[in-house]
Amino acid sequence: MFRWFTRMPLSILLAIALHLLIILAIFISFKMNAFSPASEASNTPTEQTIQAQSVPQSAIDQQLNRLKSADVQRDQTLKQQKSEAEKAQAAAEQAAAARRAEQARLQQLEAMREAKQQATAAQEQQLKAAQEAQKQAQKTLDAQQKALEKIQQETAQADAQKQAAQAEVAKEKSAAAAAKQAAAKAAQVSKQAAEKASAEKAAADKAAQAQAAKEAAAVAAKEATREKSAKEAADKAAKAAAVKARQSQESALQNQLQNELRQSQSKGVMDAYAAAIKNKVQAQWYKPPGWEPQWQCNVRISQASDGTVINVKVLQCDGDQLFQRSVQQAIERASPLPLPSDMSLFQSSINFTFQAKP
Amino acid sequence: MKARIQHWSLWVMAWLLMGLPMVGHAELNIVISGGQESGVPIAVVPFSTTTNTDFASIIRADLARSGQFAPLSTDQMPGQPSAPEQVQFDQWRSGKAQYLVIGKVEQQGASYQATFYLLNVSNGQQMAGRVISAPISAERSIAHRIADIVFKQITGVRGAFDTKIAYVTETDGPMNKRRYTLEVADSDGANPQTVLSSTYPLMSPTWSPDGTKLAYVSFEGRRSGIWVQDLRTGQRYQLTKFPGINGAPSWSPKGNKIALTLSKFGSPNIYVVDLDTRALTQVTNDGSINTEAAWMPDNQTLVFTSDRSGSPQIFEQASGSRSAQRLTFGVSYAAGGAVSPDGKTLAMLAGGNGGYRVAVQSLSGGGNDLRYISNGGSEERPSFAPNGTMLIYASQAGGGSVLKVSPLAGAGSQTLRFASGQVRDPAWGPFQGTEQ
Repeated sequence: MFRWFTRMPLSILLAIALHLLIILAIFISFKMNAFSPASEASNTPTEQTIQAQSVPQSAIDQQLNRLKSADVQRDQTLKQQKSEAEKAQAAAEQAAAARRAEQARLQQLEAMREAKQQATAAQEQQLKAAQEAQKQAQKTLDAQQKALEKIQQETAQADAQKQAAQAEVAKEKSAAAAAKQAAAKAAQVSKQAAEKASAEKAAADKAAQAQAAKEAAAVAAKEATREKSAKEAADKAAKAAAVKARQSQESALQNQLQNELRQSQSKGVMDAYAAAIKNKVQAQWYKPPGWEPQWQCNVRISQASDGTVINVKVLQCDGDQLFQRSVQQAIERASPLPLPSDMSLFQSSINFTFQAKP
Repeated sequence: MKARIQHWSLWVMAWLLMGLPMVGHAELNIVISGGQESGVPIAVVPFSTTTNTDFASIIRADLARSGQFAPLSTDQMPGQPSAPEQVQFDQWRSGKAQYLVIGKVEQQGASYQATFYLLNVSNGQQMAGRVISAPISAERSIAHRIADIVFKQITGVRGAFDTKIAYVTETDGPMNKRRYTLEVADSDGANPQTVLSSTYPLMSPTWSPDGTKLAYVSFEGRRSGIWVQDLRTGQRYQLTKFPGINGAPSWSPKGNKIALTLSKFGSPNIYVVDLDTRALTQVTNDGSINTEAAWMPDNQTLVFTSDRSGSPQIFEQASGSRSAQRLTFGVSYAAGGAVSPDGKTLAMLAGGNGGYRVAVQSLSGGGNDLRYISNGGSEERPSFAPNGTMLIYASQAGGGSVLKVSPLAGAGSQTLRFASGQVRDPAWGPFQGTEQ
């Protein structure tokens, strides 16, 4: 090794320098990829998310980064999280924040009831029902916007109901043992929730959250009214933890919703932008007779911020001069090109592929 | 070891150089497919002129005849400028025209002088600006020359509007005798000049490549013979007077030979006459009909019609070769072959269920890409414009026949207008002079 240094210091130095360059390049690529506000969180590994407040950020991060990725990854994270109750919580938070929040609350309440009735079987049935509801919700993906609105409303409702329930619980302090049991069961249930959560696709989350919120609200109301004795089992510590978890989950939910909304909006704006340009250029393309179906023309244009085409560069073009001119004319006549409704998405350089074949 | 490390370093460097610009950089890519098929929208604004000639309409008709342009009518024009400084480009950009031709024509003694401009509407650039003058008697040629320049600037192909066509007319003369004339006219049929008038049938004119002479078939003396006539002096001489058929002359691209059909030994065969030595060379030699020779650009190879395979088909045979290759397979009747100036396209008269129509195929395609150019069903042998973009042919219409021009690209045809009677056997002349 040392002989290398002595015999070829330049090469070694070059190699080291290139390594540094690569690392720098990767770092730059991360920076350059940073498009959405949530991307800062992408640098924080999921293992850190033990504290309830840090959890939602990783959840958002994963959501955003894996919106459409395979479920396999989620299964893996789920296995890790099963090892500890806290990790389970973390996993739970990786799932759709809204559903998780509601489910966690639901499960806490259910745990309290179980502490007395020990009717866990009933709970599992409810959870299964919730799962089915969520599957159904997956099918209604196109109602995303409505679901978003719904979930906001219903989250508010559920919050109010739960606050009421918890207020009652606070009044009646009861045995600590029962509280511990409740907490343990809450942890178990949250594990289940985590399994469910990670198994579900991100795209379905919003709609699923709406369903879950409904379920949670209904159950919470039932629990609050029917089983007042459950309040005795509630411990202050458990309450505090639950409140904390809920708060962080809710803020995570909010962030996620905002990010998803922003992403879907910017994608929509981008699509509309590209479509507007395509329509205008296509309407101006008069393809002269004598064209052949396989003819294709690739051009790159640059435009000023008002959409005025300032340069047309023909990269590759089949056909005769008349055909090539028709392509150039189409772009020049479409100038100024349409602008995006969000100017942050403006593209100063655009590639066009003209295909003679209709 | 050192070499290996350097090798490795080079790879890393290459990766860095290639990979870095891509990182985090997504460009917007837009695919435009189809578009609307249309001739190039062009506005030829009426020229400012003191003469009665409508130069702009001559240019418009020329460009439209090519099939590659769609000239706008004057009511589609937002203004009628005659000089670049008068053009309100913003107004024109909201219209359909992609290009704009403007100009003026003034009389200067016995000639006209035209100043014209070709402008690109979308970017306001001047693509051409020229002064052209011509004798008053040739005022239409000013418009054809402008059309040629416009055509060349936009398509990249030399225009063939300022060219001549030769053809034969047949009319009823005095005392019920048929009268035949050999005519030369502008490419749009205007300015017809009678080259020869005869009471005997005239047929099959062919141009010398320099455009100064015509060879044709005349039946004067009640026998067919090939004649050569100088268009400037009117002098003529008889090239062949063999027994039997003397027909279908075709002047070679270099001008030193004429291919023709003779039947002096019975069945018609293709021969070549050397114009310098008058030596006669027989090309085909069989008992079937071989006629309608046309030259490939190499000045050596001939295409011709033969029924040696049963029905008439077009064959190709090199001078000096004893074997011919069949070129047409797609139709039951293929005759009257003509070769495009670039040697890539064979035009013909194709017969079948739809009558006789002008068709083209590529000479390298094995006859698989035949496509019809005319749609009348009673057409005759076509002739290429010297730039290969158009074909002229006779077409039976009503009691007579007319000349039509069809573009190879696109569809449609323009009928050239003549006084009356039968008009047939058109031959499109060569480019006149050097390219402008």
